[in-house]
Amino acid sequence: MDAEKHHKIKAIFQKAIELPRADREAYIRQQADGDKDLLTEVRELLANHSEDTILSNESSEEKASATMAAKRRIGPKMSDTLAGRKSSIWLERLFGTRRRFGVTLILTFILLIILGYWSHSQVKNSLEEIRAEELETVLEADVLAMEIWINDFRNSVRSWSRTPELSNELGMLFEYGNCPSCIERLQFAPWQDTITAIIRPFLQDSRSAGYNVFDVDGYVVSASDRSVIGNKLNSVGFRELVQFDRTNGSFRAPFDPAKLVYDDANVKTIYKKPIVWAGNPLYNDSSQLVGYFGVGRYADEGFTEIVNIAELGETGETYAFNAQGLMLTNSRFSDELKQLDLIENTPKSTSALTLSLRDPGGDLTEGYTPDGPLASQGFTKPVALSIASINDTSIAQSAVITEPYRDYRGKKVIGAYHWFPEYGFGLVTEVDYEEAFEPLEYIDTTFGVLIFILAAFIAYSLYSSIRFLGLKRKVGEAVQLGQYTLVRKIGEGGIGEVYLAKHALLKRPTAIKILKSDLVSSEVLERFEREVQLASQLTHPNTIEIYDFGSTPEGVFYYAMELLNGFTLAQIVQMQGEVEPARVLHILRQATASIAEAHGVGLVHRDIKPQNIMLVQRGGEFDVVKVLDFGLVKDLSESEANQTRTTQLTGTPLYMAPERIKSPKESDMRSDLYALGAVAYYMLAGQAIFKFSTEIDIIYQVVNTEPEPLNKVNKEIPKDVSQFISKCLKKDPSERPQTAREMLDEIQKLIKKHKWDNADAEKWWSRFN
Amino acid sequence: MSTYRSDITRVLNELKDGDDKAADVLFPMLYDELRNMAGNYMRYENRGHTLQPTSLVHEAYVKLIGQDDVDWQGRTHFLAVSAQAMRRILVDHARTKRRKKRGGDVKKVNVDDVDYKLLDPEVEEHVIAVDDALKLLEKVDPLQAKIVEMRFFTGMTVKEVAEALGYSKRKIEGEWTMIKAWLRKNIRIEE
Repeated sequence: MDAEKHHKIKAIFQKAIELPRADREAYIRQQADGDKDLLTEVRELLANHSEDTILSNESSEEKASATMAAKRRIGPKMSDTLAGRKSSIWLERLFGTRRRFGVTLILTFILLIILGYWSHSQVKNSLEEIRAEELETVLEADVLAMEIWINDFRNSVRSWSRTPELSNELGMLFEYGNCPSCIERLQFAPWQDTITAIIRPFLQDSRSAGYNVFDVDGYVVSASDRSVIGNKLNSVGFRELVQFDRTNGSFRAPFDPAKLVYDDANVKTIYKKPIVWAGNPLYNDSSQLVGYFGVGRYADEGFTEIVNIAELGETGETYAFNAQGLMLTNSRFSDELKQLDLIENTPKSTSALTLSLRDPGGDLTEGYTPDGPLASQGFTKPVALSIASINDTSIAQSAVITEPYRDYRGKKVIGAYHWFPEYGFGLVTEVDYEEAFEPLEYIDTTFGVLIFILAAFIAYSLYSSIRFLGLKRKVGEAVQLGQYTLVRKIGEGGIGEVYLAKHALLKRPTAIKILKSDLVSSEVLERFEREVQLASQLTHPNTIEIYDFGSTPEGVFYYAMELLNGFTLAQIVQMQGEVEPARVLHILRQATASIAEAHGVGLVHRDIKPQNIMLVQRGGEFDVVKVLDFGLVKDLSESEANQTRTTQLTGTPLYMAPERIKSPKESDMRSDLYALGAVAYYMLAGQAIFKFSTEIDIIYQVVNTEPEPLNKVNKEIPKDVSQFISKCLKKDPSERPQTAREMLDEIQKLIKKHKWDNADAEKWWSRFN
Repeated sequence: MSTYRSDITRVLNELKDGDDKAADVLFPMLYDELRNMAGNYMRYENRGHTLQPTSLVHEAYVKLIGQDDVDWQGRTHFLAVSAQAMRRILVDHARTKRRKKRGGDVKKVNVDDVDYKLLDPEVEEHVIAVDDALKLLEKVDPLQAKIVEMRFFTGMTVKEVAEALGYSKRKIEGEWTMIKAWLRKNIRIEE
């Protein structure tokens, strides 16, 4: 297909569709002149011919502009709808993320708690196992060492007592001194020195403090200490000392040597410190028991050393104790015990046989004072169990206690004990709970901190989202903004939402405008702030009053203003259509007076429109005008450079003076007067000054089209009123009233002719009261 | 920014005065601006926000010129030049998206076969189909192609097209009647 052919087809087609359907075929046949190709093309085109549109934007254009006009009366500012669309996407994305983020946060929190609890119990269990094993090992080692040591001690005592030399000498001694009144003789028996000489190496080798030989009645027949020879050991002490069995002899756990009391009260033992004792029976040739040989050792040498060999960590210790619940060895914490007055506070004193192992009921190292005397408190757990096991076979004589209990210092410990029934003493190994379970504390601290941080985070997010929701949707409890409590949302504007609010102290009804949280940018903030500052300078009764301005710690900006109960001019026209000329003049006068004040201080409103002028009842007056929304006010005293870009494109084209569209820099106060005229036109006509289908249309008409005179739109509108409004709407600013004052004067003149009084207004308002 | 703007104003005035070179100057400026603006929308396309070419062009107009003191008739010239830019932007965009989607059988369907469809610049398949058809039409009737471009890609009315091209409204209406039939006959939309 070439261009020439296409044009031929076009010519035939365009002619053909002018013809009645029936004639078309004949016409194209004739025109095609035998060119089959051409004929088919035209036929197909004709088959596809229809008056219907083919473009979607063509058919929707009218619809779209109609709905747009119906919805907003005024065409939306394009840049605003776009910004709105962008911000809604942004919000949607943010809100989505926010919600997902919240759920993640809470799940993490729960997971962390479960994990923390699980780790805690797992670590606790395995720690308990480890510690129990440790305690058991240490204790077993100590028990074994103790048994070896005791046996060694006893065996060496036995073997010495059986050396022939000694047996011989002792046998002679028994025979020689076997009479009640032979003390003197015994003491000075010539072979006492021989016996001492024989025994001394053994005493030195075994670091023993001394030896005693008793006869079967308890008389001392020989001893390291000559002064006791010939004296009888008091029967209780003697029986305790010589409890032996034939094979092993005897062993006595550490005891206070003061127990060794002789019949003669003047005779004192030579032992100064607690001693351990091992002894062996002596027999004569006819295997008759004749006496008893025993060796005493100081308990702090050997016996105590064994239990002190193995110490667990910083606070672990092993000690021995007897059936009276007295500690038999030196405590690791001796210095501390002296400070706590649990043992005598002298340099030489030790815990051996002085410290009663009782549970004070509280931590003494932390300054706890027991209720009564310590002696009245019960024994510590392992001690109590051991002592109980002496008479009660159901109680274990050896066990590990992992359940924390208080030791003699009142500290929480875990421990293990072993009781030697044959020797009448026991061993305890203990370690502070704090130390034993220290790793647990790290875990608990770590998780605690994590959980706390997360909880704080959740609490904060929850708090801010409640605030966010509260501000956004006004649900649930009241939101506090400074001195104000928000009651409910009553409106929404381009940059902010308006709420009914209550002041904490004042009863005055208040409206609060909150800057939309999704629009907070420095530019918008600047505009918001400027709106307040400028508007608050105005005091005219027909200008909305600004009370307060501030921001909350969460960054919500707001200002408080007079609460208005009434209708915007746009609402009134929507309700009733055109408004009576006298009433329009009444309204226009007040609005112009408000603007006159603003112009007087150098402010141009720049956004006068029916939505920004309200009609209210005030103090018995009806139809009181309030001009609002000085958001676009331009401060003429400001330098060009300081103008915010936002002010350049915003504004509603229907009420925009042509010069504002053509050269915004040159527009001045007279643009406001044009807008007032346009508002008055809208009210009088009950419709906008121009009929329009698109935004561009409005702009075009504002610049080029003269609005239809009002008295032609509606014959009932007085000519003078119509002329006055037309004058205000002149394209050339110099043909309009030049100042708000001048305009006000002209309105006053018209009002004299067209009266609207309070009674008329009251009638109108009575519908709503 | 202000120099840029006054440039456009000047160029538009020249364009109106019949200086054809002015269009060559205006085009790249406009193309960049429109492509930037369109890019902003296309980013959100998957979220259910489609590109509305007509409002885009109008917005560009207000943004670039609306504030300056310019002869109002310049608007139609502006729209005419925009049409070319918009076509390129939309077609590039649609083809890129098509390429990503391509996979299964591509069946071409006549506009009238599937009920009755209106050509919609917000639908990628339509954009591609119109572009393909325009390539054919440009060879045989550049004027008709220009009309389609203006009407489809910037939503200009017949009256506006007439104004921009310097023809009578009647003439453009006659062309449009034929164009509609021709498009119905020649356009194949991928389904």
